[in-house]
Amino acid sequence: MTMTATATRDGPSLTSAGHSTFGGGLNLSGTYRAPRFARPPKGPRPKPIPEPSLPSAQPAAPPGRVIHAKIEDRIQFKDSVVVIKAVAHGATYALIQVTDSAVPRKEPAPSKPRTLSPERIARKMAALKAFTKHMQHREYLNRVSAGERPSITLETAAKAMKAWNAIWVASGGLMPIPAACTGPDGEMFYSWDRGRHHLELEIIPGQHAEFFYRDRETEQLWAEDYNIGEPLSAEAIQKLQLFR
Amino acid sequence: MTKPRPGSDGDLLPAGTLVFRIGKRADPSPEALKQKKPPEILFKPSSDDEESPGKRLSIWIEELTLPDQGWAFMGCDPAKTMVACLNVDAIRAIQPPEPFDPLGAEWEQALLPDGSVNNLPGAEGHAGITGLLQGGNGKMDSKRRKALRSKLADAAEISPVPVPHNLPEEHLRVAAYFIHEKGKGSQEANWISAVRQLRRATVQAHKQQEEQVGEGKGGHH
Repeated sequence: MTMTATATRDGPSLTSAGHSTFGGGLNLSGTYRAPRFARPPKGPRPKPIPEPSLPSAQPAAPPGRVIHAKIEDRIQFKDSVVVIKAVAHGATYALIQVTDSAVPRKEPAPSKPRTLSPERIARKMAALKAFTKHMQHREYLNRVSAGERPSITLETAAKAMKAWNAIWVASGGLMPIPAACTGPDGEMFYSWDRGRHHLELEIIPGQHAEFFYRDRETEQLWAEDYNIGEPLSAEAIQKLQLFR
Repeated sequence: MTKPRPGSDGDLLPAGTLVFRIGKRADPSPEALKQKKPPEILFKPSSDDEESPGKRLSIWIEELTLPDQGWAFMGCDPAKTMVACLNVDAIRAIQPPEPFDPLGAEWEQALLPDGSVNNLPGAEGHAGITGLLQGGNGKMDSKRRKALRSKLADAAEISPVPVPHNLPEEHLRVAAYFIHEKGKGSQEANWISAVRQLRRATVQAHKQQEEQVGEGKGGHH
């Protein structure tokens, strides 16, 4: 983007809100311009201040003329105000195009329409579905922990969410959302079923949570305490793999 | 299905009897409702069950008691809304983990909270599941009991109609009128029959809907 500094013969340009931050200022020729007051100041008229010389090689602009200079030029004005104006990007680009007209203008290659493979679409749909279910589960936890007689406390709901996040992460984001239900004494029950495999996590207020696994075919049973917030055991992670 | 004749306390329930259990403070998630599977905690005997002479898990016979009646006997607790239905045959078919005994289903005299016999309409359908309090206090037996409850949960289904029922009153009025037209029973009995019929019709409609969805999914494969 090209930047230009613009200064006018009439003095400093206006800053934000249309007011100069200074009551007066110096124009390009360095002449002091008094601020506009409602009334002229009383008392003896001050002595005229000698005009300061312009140290730059830049010629003084004739009255009313506007100078456009690149900001890199660094024109030094003593006590003067420089207002920087940005040139609109589009206009600058068009200008470059015109000046380089000797070279045939290269039209940008049209971008290829993005096509997704069926697998990728399926993956995206699955991710969207999982996200929706995750949000539904959050809403469910909010609902059962709110109201006059909540089924579970806010603390249990927070623990449940934390446990679910840990399980989801430990499963590589592939664990399905649990079927959840509250218990008679403020517990939260999570369960997962996949064919022969059944896994539960019981979140009990004031106690460690408890995993319970049952293999419907072999009748294998497994149970383990889980302190929510701590990493899952290797055996628990192994069980999670059965539900991915 | 023929209406079973209420038996004496401890008698075995007839084969094929449909029973239900009302869950306490069981608030299922949308995912659990979709799966229609109750949590195993629903089959954990309460302290009242543990202290009862038969040490049975309280259940009700669908032909004799409306879930709404059972809910009223339990004190109309708004936290008890889930109804899990299962068949006595499925209860008896559960394979217990060694060395536990199989589960059973027996008649049980319904009692009021003050301990007196409950003779209110619908109370005759009270029964209980035996065998859920086997074993000792060790972790292994605790795991075995949990396995039994988990198997019961596998055999059960959450009813699409909670307690108290959410059936439209106009529908109930129409159903009760037609039952009255047949000239059977009192107004209250007709109303109870109407609730039962509409509960069953709702369950049936849900099943048909699921089957249609299942067929639709199957057609795509």
